[in-house]
Amino acid sequence: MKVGLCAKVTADTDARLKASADGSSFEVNGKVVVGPYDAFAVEEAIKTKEKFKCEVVSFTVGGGDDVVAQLRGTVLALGADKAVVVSDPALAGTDSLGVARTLAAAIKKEGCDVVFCGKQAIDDDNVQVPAMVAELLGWAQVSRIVELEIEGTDFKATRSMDGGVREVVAGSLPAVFTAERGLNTPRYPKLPAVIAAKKKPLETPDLAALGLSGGDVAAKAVTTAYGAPPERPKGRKLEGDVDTMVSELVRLLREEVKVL
Amino acid sequence: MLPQLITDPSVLGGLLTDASNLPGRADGLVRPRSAEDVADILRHCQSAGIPVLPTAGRTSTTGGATPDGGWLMSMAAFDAVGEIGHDRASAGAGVWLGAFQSAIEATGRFYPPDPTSRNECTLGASVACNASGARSFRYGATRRWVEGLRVVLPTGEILDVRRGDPIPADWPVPRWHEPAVKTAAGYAPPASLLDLFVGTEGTLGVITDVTVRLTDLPSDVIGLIAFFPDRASALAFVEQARDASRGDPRGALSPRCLEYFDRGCLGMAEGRTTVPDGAGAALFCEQEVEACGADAHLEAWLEALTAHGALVDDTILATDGPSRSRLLELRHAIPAGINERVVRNGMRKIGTDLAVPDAALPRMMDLYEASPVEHVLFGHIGDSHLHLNLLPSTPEEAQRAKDWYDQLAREAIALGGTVSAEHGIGKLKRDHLRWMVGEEVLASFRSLKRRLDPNGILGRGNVFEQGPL
Ligand SMILES: Cc1cc2nc3c(=O)[nH]c(=O)nc-3n(C[C@H](O)[C@H](O)[C@H](O)COP(=O)(O)OP(=O)(O)OC[C@H]3O[C@@H](n4cnc5c(N)ncnc54)[C@H](O)[C@@H]3O)c2cc1C
Repeated sequence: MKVGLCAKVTADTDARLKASADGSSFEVNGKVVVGPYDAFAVEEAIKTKEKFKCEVVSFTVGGGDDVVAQLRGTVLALGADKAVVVSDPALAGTDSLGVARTLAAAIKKEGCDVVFCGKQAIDDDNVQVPAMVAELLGWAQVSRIVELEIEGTDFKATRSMDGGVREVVAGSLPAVFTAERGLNTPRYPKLPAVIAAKKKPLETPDLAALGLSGGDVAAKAVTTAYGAPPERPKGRKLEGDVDTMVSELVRLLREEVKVL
Repeated sequence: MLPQLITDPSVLGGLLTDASNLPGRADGLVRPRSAEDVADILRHCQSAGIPVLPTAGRTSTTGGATPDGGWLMSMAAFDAVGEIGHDRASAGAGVWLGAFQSAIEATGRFYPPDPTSRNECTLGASVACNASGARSFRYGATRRWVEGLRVVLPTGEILDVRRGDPIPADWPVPRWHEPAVKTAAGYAPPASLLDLFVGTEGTLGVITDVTVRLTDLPSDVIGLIAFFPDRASALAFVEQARDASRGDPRGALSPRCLEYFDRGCLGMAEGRTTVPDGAGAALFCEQEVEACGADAHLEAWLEALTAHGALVDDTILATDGPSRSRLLELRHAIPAGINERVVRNGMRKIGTDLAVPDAALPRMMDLYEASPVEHVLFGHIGDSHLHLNLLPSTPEEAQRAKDWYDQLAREAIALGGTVSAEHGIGKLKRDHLRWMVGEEVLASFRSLKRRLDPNGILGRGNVFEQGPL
């Protein structure tokens, strides 16, 4: 058994994003982190490792020094044995399918039996990559799981559906699972493990090393612009004594907001 | 013209107590909108002899915001954040401290004072009470950061005070030796006019506008919870970290805060996180990332923790936003657990706010641990300032707890400490203050107060005994 996990390093939830003046890109002002749903995937991968006493490899597409530092401080410190960070200039501007092709090739090369992903990344919210990876590998795929049992090569996964209904899905490995909030409680990295993680293997293959070419990841859909949402209108402050303010408020609710 | 006086009992009813739960009473509420309004109100009340109490977030734990008759003065209209520059930022006294700090941090600058209540308390009151917090170990209390104030004196005079402005020669300022510890008890011997209004709990003037100094927002902060087998090992680590930090404030081991939790606290956090077997105490620490880099910090922390027998394999680390907020959640789970217990017991808890010189801390901790009723101990151990929380479950225990607190206060004084390191005196600790400074110094506080507030209308009952001076 070998466990794979896909970890995307995205802007921290409190980072500020700003579209560039021409709208062709955006800047992240703040830290980068392994996304919160990916953190559930990491925890599930480590739990699976503990159960089967096997190896965990994490996969990331694209990354600089801050991405590598983040993977070392979290994924490797928490218990993954190796990180694979695919780096290739041709990946700039790729789309979800390009990312999925890259991950699938890297996962195949490692020879994993099960792969965990977050249900979505919190930056682009595309929710496409894990399903594509499963399809490209020809594996089973269960999305948004909140419970998982693996016995031998069989699994039973529980999905949470609208209205609180729980759907139980059974199948056999290999499979891709995407993690929903509630699947587990991610553990904290421990100090000695964070230091030890600095020495764990981290590979940075290019596309050729995975048997892919630039053409395989060329985007079929291209992002043409980024923009900020329209500014919210300023709040209005009512002035005067309580009676004036109350009657003005009632008038506004009635005539402008039309809720009374 | 005086702003409207609100006497509607349903409005007043919500403003009669604060986090101390002392019962209060008030005859009316005024809502000034400008310093001039405040001046009009104070002039009127000074001549009519009506007590006035500024009321803000009402998180005072000492009854400071509990009125004892007279008028309440809401500071809520002073809610504008002014200019935020590189070195200074200004805002109205009624601005929520946490909101003010977020606005500053959005510009990449930093205003450090961080009382735990910062999202529920106001900037003006934090100045009036010289509030501090966990980060005060590195950054000091609020006083150090105040650069300018607009203050309305109890006689209605409006002053714009800047740091360095001299005290009028005919004001009888108190001269005494404050204990050499973090303290918020009594009128600090003022270095300048500005100091007179910081930490005097609003008894010398109403603050309407505040200008503070800013510093660099740390590029990154590492949070950490370390567990120790017992108090002694935790304390030995604190001593090393404290010395290292004072020796080289930008060194590899230079925490900005050191917060202690005893075994009882860890019990309260159980269920919210796993507390490792064999843990008898814990420290929550934060390290700002300095030029040496995060790795150097981690190595230094690991080495020091190992040297003092911490349960290093269980040391929890938070290096990014989400995991740091989970650490903070854990830290806040402890006071929440205590409050739950208090509600269940139906008795008021007694929380101490004593600080002692570092050398006296072990002695003080011996006494805390010998408390005769159920208790938990946590707080700002870097400043030798711990909050003992006594959790009585019967009226007899409540009395025993109160007597014990009095005894602890006397002990802290004898050890060269303070009866209040951050919460102030308010109405609950006037006896303790008297024991600490003595009648003569207290009389000097009173004569300054009388000079500025002849009829003793402002903040009546706070710091001093009841009634006109
Ligand atoms: C859960 C909790 C945690 C806390 N943690 C800390 C902590 O870590 N550190 C700390 O130092 N304190 C702490 N406190 C105490 C308290 O939050 C602070 O003293 C705070 O500064 C009070 O702010 P406030 O706006 O709630 O003021 P209030 O409680 O409304 O008023 C406090 C006093 O200041 C006076 N005052 C208010 N506004 C003005 C003004 N503009 N001009 C003159 N006087 C004024 C009031 O008359 C009153 O005497 C805590 C309290 C709670 C409930």
